[in-house]
Amino acid sequence: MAISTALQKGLLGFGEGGSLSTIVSILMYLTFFIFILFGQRIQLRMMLWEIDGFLKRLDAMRGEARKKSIEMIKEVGKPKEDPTPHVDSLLEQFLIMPVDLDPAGIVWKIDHLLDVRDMKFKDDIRRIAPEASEAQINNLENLVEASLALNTIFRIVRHFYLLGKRTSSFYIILQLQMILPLIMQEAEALMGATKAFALGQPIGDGIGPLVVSKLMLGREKRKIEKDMVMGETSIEGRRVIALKAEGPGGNVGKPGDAIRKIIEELGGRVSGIIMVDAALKFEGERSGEISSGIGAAIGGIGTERFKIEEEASKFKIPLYAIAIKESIIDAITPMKREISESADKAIEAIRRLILDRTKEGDTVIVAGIGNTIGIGQ
Amino acid sequence: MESRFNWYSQLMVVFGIFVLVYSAYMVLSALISLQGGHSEEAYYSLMLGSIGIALASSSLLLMRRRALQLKPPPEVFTVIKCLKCGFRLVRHFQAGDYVNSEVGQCQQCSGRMLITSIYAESEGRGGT
Repeated sequence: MAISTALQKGLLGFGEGGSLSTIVSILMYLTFFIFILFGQRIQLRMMLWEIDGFLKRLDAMRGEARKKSIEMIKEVGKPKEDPTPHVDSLLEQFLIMPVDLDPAGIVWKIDHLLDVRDMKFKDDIRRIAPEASEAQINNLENLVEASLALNTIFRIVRHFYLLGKRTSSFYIILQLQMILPLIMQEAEALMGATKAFALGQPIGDGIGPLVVSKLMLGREKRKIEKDMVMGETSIEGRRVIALKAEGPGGNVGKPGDAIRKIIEELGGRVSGIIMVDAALKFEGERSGEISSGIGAAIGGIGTERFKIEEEASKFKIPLYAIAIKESIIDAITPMKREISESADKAIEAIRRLILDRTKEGDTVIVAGIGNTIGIGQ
Repeated sequence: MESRFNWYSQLMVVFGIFVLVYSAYMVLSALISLQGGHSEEAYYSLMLGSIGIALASSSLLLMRRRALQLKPPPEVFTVIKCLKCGFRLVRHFQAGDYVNSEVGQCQQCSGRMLITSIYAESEGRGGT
């Protein structure tokens, strides 16, 4: 009690004719006027401070991803010269989308540009990692792409940060600050992905290929179209053509082209196309939950979906979708146990769908969509 | 960078606890002052003590949330299964492992062993 009184008298000035009360009142009025006059500027400074922290983290992340890419290229590809300048050049690569003033035929233009980009990227990796196998080249390509994505995120965030800071634009900074937690979530996921790509571990997005690989296990397989493999099996007397990207290297293949080729080979006599893919879950939903629907379950820019929809509508083939729910983080980081264990449930859903919607002797295409890294066939 | 962060975090936690304890003490002394009839003294101590408790609690809770977010990355396991007798083995992922690759013979029946699954799981939840 004695210490308390001493502290209050000494530090706070209690008991001396209400001097503290006057000081507090002045301070409160001062604070009130400061906030009226400079409130927004103070808020802006605080937001810039917060964004600066995020930006530093993003910079560290992109640096780490770049370092990992260079290390893996050196370790796996055993290049004769230092790959760093080549990797830096790859990290700055971009794609100019075709003009969409006249959208007719734009899908084929995008498809062509994506093919060129993919081919060039792979050739560049092959050149700087001459000793790498085809599967390792695919993994390295995925790794460099993840580093590129982190580099792009960092550059965009830095651009708006500096722009907002230079112009003192409250609204640019506010928008950036509002969206940054989501951007950081994506960046963290990409960091997790770099580890998986470097080691060749299956990622959550690979659940589609995992399901199909189980269907084609022990069956004869053949390569069809670019980076795609197919195998035949039967379920309840139906002929099932299972299709996935060629693994175990990191690869998504071109399912649209493969499905079109199979349908053309069969003269359109296909009773259904079932597409199995990872789908983004809503917050509150469990990872690994399965739901089924109608349509082409395939993400990406849309060219492959367009091809599948075109072919299916041309031959009036029903399109069914089986989605395995997961978050964006789950999709690009090493596959979680609950997602991996959902593969058997997805096969059961496929079996039920085939039983319900087709009859004996029919042919069904089952396509596992996604990145097949760490999943063979 | 990691150790610097830990040192800084620990310092912040100690400072937060100090502010919390001192603020609680101020609230207590405010109550005593109120009983003694020093109402002005009591209200200021109560106000400052409450602000201190609120700030220190929010700071400590934030530190706790950040600490929980810094959990170690999940470990990756490889599940190997015998195609003949169904014997199942779970081990840590090794470079070169991939689903559907053959990895030697079964210890029980000499059948073919196949990697059936590779999954990530947080520490303490793995097993055979």
